[in-house]
Amino acid sequence: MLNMKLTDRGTEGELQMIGRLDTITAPDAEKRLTEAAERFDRLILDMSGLGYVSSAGLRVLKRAHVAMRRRDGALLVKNVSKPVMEVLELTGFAGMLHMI
Amino acid sequence: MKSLTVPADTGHLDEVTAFVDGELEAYDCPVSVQLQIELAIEEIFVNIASYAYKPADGEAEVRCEVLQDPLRVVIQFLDGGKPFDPLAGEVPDISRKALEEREGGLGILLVRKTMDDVQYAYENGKNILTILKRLQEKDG
Repeated sequence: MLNMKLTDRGTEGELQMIGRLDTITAPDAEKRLTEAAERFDRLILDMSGLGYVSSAGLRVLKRAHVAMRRRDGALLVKNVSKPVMEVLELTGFAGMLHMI
Repeated sequence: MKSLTVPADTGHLDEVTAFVDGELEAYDCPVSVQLQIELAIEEIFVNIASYAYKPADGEAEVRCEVLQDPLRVVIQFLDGGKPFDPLAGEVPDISRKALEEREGGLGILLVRKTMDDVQYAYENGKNILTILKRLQEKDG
């Protein structure tokens, strides 16, 4: 299960992610993130409610990160939980994503 | 060793996770360790479901056993698909540039980094991936 709530602040969007970003939820998450990445110049992912991420979820995050960079936007990540941070650190994602 | 056989399809991932969780239930396993085991199961099972029999269908068997002194779990994943050693590839480059340019290899990297031992064998026409994880945190 993954719930995503979007807050629209004009050029900036904030997506709150609650649940798990895994093989099952990745396709839907990718759709939402791709839409948001096209719409906003700055996209913030609030991960305070995200308790689990697998490589399928990392792929979604990476694609959104690259898409934002290509159009000179920024993907920013905040409030990362401990288990998710561990995965980001082990895979180098902690060094790739911009944490605020 | 207890065993569960399911179709090698991502729709059965929950069943596999529940099977292993059930085996670990009686042990006071830290949540962080449980999450690492859950992650390893997802990465390995989804790999089998995605590649082992492609484009045909097949089954995957999961075996699970808890051993004492030190308390640890051994989980085996067996499939009768194409011979494939997931540990044979190079360790992926996880520099920022490489991550932005390439995809893949992170699942097995996570398994290798979070489990205490990972072994591959091909026996009797089956791929057998065995993972071992201590159930108590090392500094505890």
